[in-house]
Amino acid sequence: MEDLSPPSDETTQLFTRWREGDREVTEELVEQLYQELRKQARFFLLRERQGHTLQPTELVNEALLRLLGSDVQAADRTHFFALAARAMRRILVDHARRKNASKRLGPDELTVIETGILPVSEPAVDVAALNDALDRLATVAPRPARLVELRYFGGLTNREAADVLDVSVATAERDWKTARTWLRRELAP
Amino acid sequence: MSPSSDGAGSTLADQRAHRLYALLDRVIDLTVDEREAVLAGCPEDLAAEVRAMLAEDEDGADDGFLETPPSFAFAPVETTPRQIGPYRILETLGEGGMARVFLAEQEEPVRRRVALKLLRIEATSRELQVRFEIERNAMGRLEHPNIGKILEGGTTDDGHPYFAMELVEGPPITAYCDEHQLDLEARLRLFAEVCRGVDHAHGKLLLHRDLKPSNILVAEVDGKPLPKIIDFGIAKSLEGALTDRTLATGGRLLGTPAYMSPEAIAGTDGELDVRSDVYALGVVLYELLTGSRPYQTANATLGAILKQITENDPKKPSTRVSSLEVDESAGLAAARRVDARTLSRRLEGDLDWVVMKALARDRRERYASAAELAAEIERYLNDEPVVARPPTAAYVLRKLARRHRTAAAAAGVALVAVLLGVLGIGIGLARAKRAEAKAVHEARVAVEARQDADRMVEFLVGILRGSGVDDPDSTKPPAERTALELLDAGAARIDRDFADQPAVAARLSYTVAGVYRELGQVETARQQAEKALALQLEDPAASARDIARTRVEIATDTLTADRPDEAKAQLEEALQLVPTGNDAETLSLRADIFDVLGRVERRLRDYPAAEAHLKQSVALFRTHPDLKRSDLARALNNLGTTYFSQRRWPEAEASFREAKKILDQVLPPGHVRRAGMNDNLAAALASQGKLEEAAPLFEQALAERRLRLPPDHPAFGDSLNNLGSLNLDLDRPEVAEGLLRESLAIREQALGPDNPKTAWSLDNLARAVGNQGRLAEAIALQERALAIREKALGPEDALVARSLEHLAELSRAAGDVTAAEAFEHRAARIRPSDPGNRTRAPE
Repeated sequence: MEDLSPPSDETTQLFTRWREGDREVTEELVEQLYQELRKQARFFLLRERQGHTLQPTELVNEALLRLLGSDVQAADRTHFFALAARAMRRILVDHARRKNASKRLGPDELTVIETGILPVSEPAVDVAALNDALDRLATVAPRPARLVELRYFGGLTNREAADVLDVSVATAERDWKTARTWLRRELAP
Repeated sequence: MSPSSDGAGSTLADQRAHRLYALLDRVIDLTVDEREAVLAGCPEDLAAEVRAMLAEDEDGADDGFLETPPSFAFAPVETTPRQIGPYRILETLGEGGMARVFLAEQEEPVRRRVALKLLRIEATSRELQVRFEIERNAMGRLEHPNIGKILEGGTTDDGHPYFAMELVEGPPITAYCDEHQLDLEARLRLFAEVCRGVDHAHGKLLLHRDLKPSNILVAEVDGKPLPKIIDFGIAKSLEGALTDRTLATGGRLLGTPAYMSPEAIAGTDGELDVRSDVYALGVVLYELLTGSRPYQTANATLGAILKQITENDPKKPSTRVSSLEVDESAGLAAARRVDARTLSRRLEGDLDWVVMKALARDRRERYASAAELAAEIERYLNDEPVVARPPTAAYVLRKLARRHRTAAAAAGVALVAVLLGVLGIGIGLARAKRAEAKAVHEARVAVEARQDADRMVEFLVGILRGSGVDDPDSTKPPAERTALELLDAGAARIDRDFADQPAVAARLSYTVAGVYRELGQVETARQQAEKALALQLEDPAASARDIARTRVEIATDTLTADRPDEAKAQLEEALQLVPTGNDAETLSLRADIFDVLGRVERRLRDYPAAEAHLKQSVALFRTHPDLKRSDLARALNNLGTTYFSQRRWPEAEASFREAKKILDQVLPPGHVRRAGMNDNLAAALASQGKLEEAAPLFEQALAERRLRLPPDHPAFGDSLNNLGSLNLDLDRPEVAEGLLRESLAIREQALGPDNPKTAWSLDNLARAVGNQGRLAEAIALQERALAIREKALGPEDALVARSLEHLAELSRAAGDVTAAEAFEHRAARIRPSDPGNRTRAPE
């Protein structure tokens, strides 16, 4: 079955290049992760009863196992999560856009089949608007924008996010506060 | 606020945004007073905006903005429909990823409440709808007290398939057992009923594919628990629909991880068979006995669960229970009305073995059917030995001695049979041998010599221990050797250990020959039988009947090796030896001789003689009610085949029909003889033009094969092509198209793209497509068929003409007269006169 593919050599190589600083492969890696996460989500979708919820980290953990195998070093794991956060962001934004586009009341069945993933309840924020605001924030202050992506879409803790961004926990905390205050204003109705 | 929204001002806006963010970041961690000091020195508009942002943040301090990452669920929020088909929706009973279940009420023609399952997928194409209907019909055929009945189904206006099902009011089986504190025996009895229900559905060629406690509900009828399995076959129809739908969007895996067999996880869906359901039953049994599932899935990630299932054996039930914390195991035991230590002890031994056999990761090691599992549970409940337990000599002999005191002492042959059965040579064989052994025992008990039996037991124990066998290369303990290895070792010992007792040696060789035959080792079987014969001919005390039996076996093996003349000579010798008399054994011997003789004569194309002998055989098998019914079916099938060879279709049909009726009763579903029987009857019907009747039989043969054969087996290509061309004749081109496409794919894969059989599928498919008016597509397909045939059969072959004629027909329909005439011209050169319209593949 397709979603039980063994760890992919291609992904491992891409990931190695990325970890060694080759940022050209980022988009490709994110794309692979995006596909993998959708598969994972489909997998859950097809077999779980309603009421079972799933944290982003669980989904990403599965993708990690599948794509890179089980013996991955802690540092690599963190990096992987950083990439996955971007993929998760895409998934959620896709969903939000599709939902906004749909004029129908209630969710569109086709959406479920196509994306295979839905937020457990609609997130408190407008994900599509948050996405745009984050894009804008990234031009003003890239690192805080990244931090929000890691924490909100990737489900990372502040410490994990600080590791990924290679800053102190205190700096990450401060970035978080500023970015959050900024985004609150941006997303205000 | 959108800094980059307008082209010319964007640079300014960007600069302002940068300054604003920098200012905010600078003051964010300061106290109120410090902030004001900083802001006072800034441009008023920036300071004001920063103050506003901070104030907003203050207001929402506790609202958790962005603090919680979104989590995901698998079911969207949906509105509840008010009406589906003729059913009024009353309330929602449950929701899953693929479907919702409602309590619904029907008013006409009868007022009743049903459980209505509405699938989330859409069946938009005709083909998909046809497929759902086929599935629904299959489900509708289920009639069993332990299966929740599918009442009817349909498709909503917006294309969602639904099923109305018998409403089962009761909790899942695990919850029921705990709530009622059922003891182990009561749980096992309920479970055996469930197995029987599953087996019934398997008999109707439906796999469940998603067996788990929540699909096994226990209702109470007259105060007694009645387990009912729901959702039979629905997983399958979902899968059918999803195949089309999701190929582009990624993988799919249907089922519930904790109950999925390793092959369901690892393989493709087509490879599932009844043993995958047996596995799921094993998980349910584990849960009923121990209160937990074989694998700890509560906090594990999905990957970890799947890895566990495919790579590790679970803990034995007794080990699981005894490794629990004291308070936990006490509660568990109390719910089963025993104390914790007793529970563990009760599970240890037989129940451990049974559960672990059902859960074997290699499905060949599981029970071959749900009925076998049920029978095993019943054996346990009746204090009989379970077949799951490895045949250590001590265990087997202890059990045998306890249950069959006389038999074990006296009936050596019976013992061989039972022990070989226990060795796991095959459930069917074991059953047959056991029945046979009983008959043999009854007939011979008077003449068995006690000392023979003692030596025999010793011999068997030797085989089972694997000690002293003539195979210095084998270092494996006996439990790990295959039955065949043990058999070889045992056979080698016969000569040595029984040199002084030719009668015992002959009987053992004869029995061992039968086992080799069942295992498909025809040549070795014949050698053993020859050995038995040689011993018997030297033994003045050997009975004529035994010698005749041995000769029949040799003849059968010789015929299989296609040496009919030799076989005939053996049978004629055998016939001389049959004693007069009308006892069951004599009659059955005579009937067997005539049966094999008839087959030999058919092979020699002496049809009148074959018919006469087979009729005699059938008559004999019919006379005596104790003779084996499957033997009667075999003789009838041989008689039918003889008629068929002579193109006497109605007589062939009648014989096949009777044989089929018997086999359907006595053989498990999916048995290779049943599939063959359906094909034979269908062929006889189709030959008479009774296509409507033949179609479902071909379908059944196809389904039987699906249960047992790998999905890319070329036999499917044949079945699908036959069924497809039949539907073509029945003027159902849409149905035909789906089947023929499948047939084509299998044949291309299994036989290659240049095989003439592949050309048949293409030819028939071209007709199915052409009959639906898609002419260009049909022409392309028929041209492929033509190319294959020209290459494989030569340009002058009648089948080349067949392709050309169809191409002419299609071209004419498409208005291309020139092309049509060219095709006609080429066809006419091969086949001057039209031999008639043949649309069916002669396979």
